[in-house]
Amino acid sequence: MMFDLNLLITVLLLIAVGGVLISLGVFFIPIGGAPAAMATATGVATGCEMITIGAGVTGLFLSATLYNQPLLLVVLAAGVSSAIMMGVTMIAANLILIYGVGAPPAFARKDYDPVTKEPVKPYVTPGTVGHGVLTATYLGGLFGAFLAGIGGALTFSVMYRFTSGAGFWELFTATSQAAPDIAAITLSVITALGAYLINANITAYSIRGVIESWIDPKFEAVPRTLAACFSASLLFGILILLASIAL
Amino acid sequence: MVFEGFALILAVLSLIVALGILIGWFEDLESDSGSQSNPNSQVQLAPQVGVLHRIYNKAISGEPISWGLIGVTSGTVFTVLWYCFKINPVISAVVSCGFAMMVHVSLATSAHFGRTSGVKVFGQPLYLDVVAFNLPLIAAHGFIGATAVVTLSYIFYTSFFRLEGLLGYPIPIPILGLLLGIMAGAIGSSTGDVHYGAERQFQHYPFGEGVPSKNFGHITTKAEAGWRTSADITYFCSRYGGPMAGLCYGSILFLDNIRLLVGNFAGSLMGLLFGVIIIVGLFAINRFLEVTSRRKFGPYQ
Repeated sequence: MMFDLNLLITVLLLIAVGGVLISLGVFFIPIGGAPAAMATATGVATGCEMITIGAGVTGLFLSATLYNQPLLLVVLAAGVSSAIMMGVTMIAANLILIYGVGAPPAFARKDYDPVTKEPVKPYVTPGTVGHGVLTATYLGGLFGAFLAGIGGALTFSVMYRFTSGAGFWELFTATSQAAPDIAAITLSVITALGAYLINANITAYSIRGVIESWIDPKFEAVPRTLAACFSASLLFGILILLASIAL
Repeated sequence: MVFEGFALILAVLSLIVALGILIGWFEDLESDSGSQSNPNSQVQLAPQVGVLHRIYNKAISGEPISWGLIGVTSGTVFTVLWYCFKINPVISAVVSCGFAMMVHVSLATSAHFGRTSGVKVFGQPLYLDVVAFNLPLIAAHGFIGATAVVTLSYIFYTSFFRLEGLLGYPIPIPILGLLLGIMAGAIGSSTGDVHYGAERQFQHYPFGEGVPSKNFGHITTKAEAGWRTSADITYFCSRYGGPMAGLCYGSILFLDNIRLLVGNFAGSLMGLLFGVIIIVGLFAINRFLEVTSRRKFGPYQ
């Protein structure tokens, strides 16, 4: 069975671009890790991989439902889904922090919230670096989840179209499939989960587990990390394409 | 007929949201009853700073991975029973979740033994009555959560084909169980854990502040009467942390599916636009919460 070389290279490149988008998204999500669960650090109280996958899964659901729609529409819809998941989660975390712990959202890194220009430092508990999700980091979280959702949905949709036998142009346009190919969906979901884990993990090393969205100095590590994620996703794409050809 | 079809879709949507609330709620309480995920760092640290406790400690992985395992185990057994042996889905769900519960309990037992023996050098005893008392609690919460995950996967999968793609997802049930479990873990870990980690675990410190790093490890070991056990923690968190995690999960499923419905009825672009409107609304709610809490509590004193 012969394969179109242009198709293979495009699929590989799109998987790598998806990985880069996931990694860039993680930089924008305010990740607090375990200290955030003790209200010692700001952000969402869980690890990079965990919250990125959690947000990305919502986008994967939607991209599976829109299996035969144009690619651009699918990835945008999935990104919005992931942003909705992240937005609701950050609100619930703030609700628990405010009414369950009794501390208002604040951080100690800057005197003022960079977006609203309100003073935030007086609200910080001494001995902590802040707690909760503020307006500046909330916006970053929404945008980061949107980017990560786009990346995961891109990996999923491209992989789905490739494994269900689409031609070069059918990668981008609406396809004529009347019913979803369940086996291809299974393989593509597992590919997208792998892409989330790999890229979020590389980014987690780069930001050492915690980041306060775009106001954090660790944000300078973006170019190096994106390059690393691009090459790792390319390698991952080659392996997964070899596996899918064998099927 | 149009009205009946619409009513059926709304009924399925409300069932999806109700099951979502159950998953989030019981996932968080299950993790609290075993001190899994983030608060576990303090339970594991406590003996090292001289605080001995009677709290169950079973974390060997993050909540999303653990719940992904539960979801995929019960989903696989369910699919085998329902799809291959043509057994009634209700019976299949109960049997598959019973099987997943056995896997879950064996992992919880070995994890507790392993983690407690890891801090034996600091004098932390391994209480067998703590194991015997807390395992049924973990198993019960895990069972309810797993049943909700399997039922929700079944509803998503079948409704996609019955309702012609208006609701539900064309993903096989084991993979749906994995994804729903991972999502439940991510939500429970990032929302419900704050109530346990920042409030219940450090209850002998004043209310209304974050936990300074110097207090790390000095967790509350005394309960209202006697030593604190994981059952006390679950009781406390079931009043606010658990329901909030459930509300979060239910809201996500509700908002995402109502957006899918709008997209299916009014065109995909309208669905996209509706999603953007939801995001703007969420941002406004968060801003309102932030402003009111700062006005209400005032600066730290």
